[in-house]
Amino acid sequence: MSRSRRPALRLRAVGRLLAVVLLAARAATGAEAQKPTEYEVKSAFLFHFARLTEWPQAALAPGQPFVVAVIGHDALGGALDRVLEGQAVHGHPLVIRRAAAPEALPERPHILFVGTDRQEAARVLRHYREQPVLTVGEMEGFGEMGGIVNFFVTAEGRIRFEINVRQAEARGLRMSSQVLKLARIVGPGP
Amino acid sequence: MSAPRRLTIRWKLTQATVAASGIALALVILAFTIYETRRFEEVLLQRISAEAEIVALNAASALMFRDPESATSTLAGLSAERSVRAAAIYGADRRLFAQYRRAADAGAPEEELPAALAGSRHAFTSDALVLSRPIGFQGTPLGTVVIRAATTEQAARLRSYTALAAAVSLGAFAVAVLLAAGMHRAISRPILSLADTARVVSEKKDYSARAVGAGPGELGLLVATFNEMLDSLHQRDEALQDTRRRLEATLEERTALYREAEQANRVKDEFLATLSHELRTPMNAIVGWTSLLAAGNLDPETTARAIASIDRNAKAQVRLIEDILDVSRIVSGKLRLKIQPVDLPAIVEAAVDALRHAAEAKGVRLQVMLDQEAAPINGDADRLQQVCWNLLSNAIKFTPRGGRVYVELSRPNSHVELLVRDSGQGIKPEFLPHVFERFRQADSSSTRAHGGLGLGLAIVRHLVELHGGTVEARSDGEGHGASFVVQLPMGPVRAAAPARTGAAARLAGAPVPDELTGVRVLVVEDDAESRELLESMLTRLGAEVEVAASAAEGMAALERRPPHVLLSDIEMPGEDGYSLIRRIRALPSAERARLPAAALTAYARTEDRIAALAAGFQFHLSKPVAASELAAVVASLARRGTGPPAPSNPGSGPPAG
Repeated sequence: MSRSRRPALRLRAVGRLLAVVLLAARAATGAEAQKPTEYEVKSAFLFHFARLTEWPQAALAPGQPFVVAVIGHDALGGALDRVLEGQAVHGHPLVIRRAAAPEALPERPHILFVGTDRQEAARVLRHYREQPVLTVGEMEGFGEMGGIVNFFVTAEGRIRFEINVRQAEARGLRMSSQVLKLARIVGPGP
Repeated sequence: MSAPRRLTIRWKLTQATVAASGIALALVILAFTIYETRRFEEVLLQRISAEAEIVALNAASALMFRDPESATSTLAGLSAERSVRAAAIYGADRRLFAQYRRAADAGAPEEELPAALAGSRHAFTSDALVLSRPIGFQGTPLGTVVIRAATTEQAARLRSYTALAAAVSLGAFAVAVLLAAGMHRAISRPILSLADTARVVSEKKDYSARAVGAGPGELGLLVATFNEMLDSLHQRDEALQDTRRRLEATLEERTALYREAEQANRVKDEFLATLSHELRTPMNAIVGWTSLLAAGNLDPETTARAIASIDRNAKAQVRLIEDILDVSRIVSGKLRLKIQPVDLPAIVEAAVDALRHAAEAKGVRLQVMLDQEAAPINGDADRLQQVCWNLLSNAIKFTPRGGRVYVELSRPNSHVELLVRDSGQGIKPEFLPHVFERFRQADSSSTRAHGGLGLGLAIVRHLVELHGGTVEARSDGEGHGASFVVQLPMGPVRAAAPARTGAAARLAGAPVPDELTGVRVLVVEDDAESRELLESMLTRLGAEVEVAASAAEGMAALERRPPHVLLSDIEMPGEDGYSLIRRIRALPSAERARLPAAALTAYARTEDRIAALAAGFQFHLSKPVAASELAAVVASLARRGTGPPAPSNPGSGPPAG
């Protein structure tokens, strides 16, 4: 028994070593497209939210660009630019605005990524209260604060989101069931 | 014979029906299977395709938001589709994103999307359909859904179809056997009827047999056509039989004609022989007596006898010649009558008178019964007398000594009837129809007892018919005599005509040498005239003559005292010359057997000569014979008799020296 176990153990060790080497080699040869970063994923999610949500006619007039704005810390950074560059949503060219505060934005955005702290976030949400802006955050209780979509990471390390459906409806945003079925629905009733 | 044939037809019909239905069934099953497979595949493809579309739609957001659990639950929805064994969703990076397996044994999907399944594809394997559909959102490719659906359900269904087909085939087989039995009745019965009819026709040659009809349709047509064929065969057969009968009839006719011609030819030949004989016989007497008279030295009694004989024979010859001329006239149609009122009783009386002497000489009694009132007729007196004379002389000729001839002339109704009846030898029934034919004599052999040409009755009939009358011969057969009945129509005028008389005779002479002194000659000759003449001639030549009137008498004389030379006639009643010489040549005594002999006959043809020599004569002398020739021949034979006879020199001419 003991004699046969030893080569098996040794083989497993060799396998692990090989896997490590391979992973390293993969990372070295630009496996970034294969294994996107968290913010690349979140940037892609933002784009998908844009495509799976309907804005009121008045909020997205023909010829008007579709504005994605980042307030506060620009956690998304270049990933957002890479994902959204040259894209269009519902026939509207997509533009990205970055600002420290909502007041600094030249127009009201359609999607607003809130990268501020909790206090600032509450202020930003209040600023766009009742307005057709899909607010996205990544802090615990964002939905309860009046935000619509909030990213979180599961125990397996997967990025998931919760959606405050009442908030979205209250602002005239109609989110696709395709999104809703993937989300954890949160938020108090209005 | 018919049972196996019936079976065969039945079996063939069964085979045909089963084969036809089997092939049809096989084709139907094949077509159905193909159609079903196609249809099933089509439906399955449609169904799975729809499922895949739904999955693709529902899984799009899962891919967009990288949510494999959601995708997995979307795939789990496929459990409602029973044929789906497994399914998988691959991301845009072609890596396995989510999967579904109906059962653990369904096999794990590939970790990476096979290139063959990229995009919208589908393929049927032996037991499954593998289908892929792209997942995308608003033109953005997100991944691929792959569904593997089992087709085993279809295989099971096909198995049940096959079982069903087998069951149906068995049923069809049973139906086919039943149908074949029915068809056998409808088909083989008319065919067997045809075969039976054909056999009857070929075995019995009965072309009237007909096959029983099979109603309308091909078989009915076949039977009808067969019957029509028999009709035409029947007609042809009858036509053939008819032709054969006609040919046979023609052949018989021809054969009869040929026999008739042959008979006529033979009759003519015989007639010619007879004619020659009849002309030569009287000529013999005339020439012989004439030569004796010419030599002179005859006593007055002999001279008178000679002249009487010459006269008789010349008259007989004239009558013969006239008969021949008459026949010639009859044949050429030149015989003409000099019609005038005639006294028929006078004519009959004249004929009777003319022949009375001959009858008395022969010892034949003549009875005459003439109805003088039966006279008034028109006719040719000479020809009517010829008719009478011919019938009377015929009757006397064929009546033996002591017999009688009865002549009667009567007027029964509106005609005159002449009956001549004799008590002679009569006529054989088979010869009765021929008595009036030319050249026909009941006895035409060389042994005949009666001379004549056989023309008399032919002339009688012709003359009577020229007078508008009829002549008939009756006889109760041989030995019962014969009757000849002439019926002549009566004429209005009554006139008398004198009877016809005969012709005169002239004499001819010949020199007579004297060189047969001491030679003993036996003369065998039935004809008294000839016998007398020969006796006179030979006596005059110095020979010692013994005479015999028949072969039997000659033989007796020979036995008594053998002569030096024999002179024998050939044609004699009873036994002829040929027979006589053969008997002599067969005698035990060499002296008598070698007796030199000469045949003396009126038959002068080459074949008669050869027959005489072959029979045993050394010489053949034809009548009439001249005294000089007779002397030379007898002298030659007498010299020969001193030595042995010389059969090696059968020449007919006188030998040299």
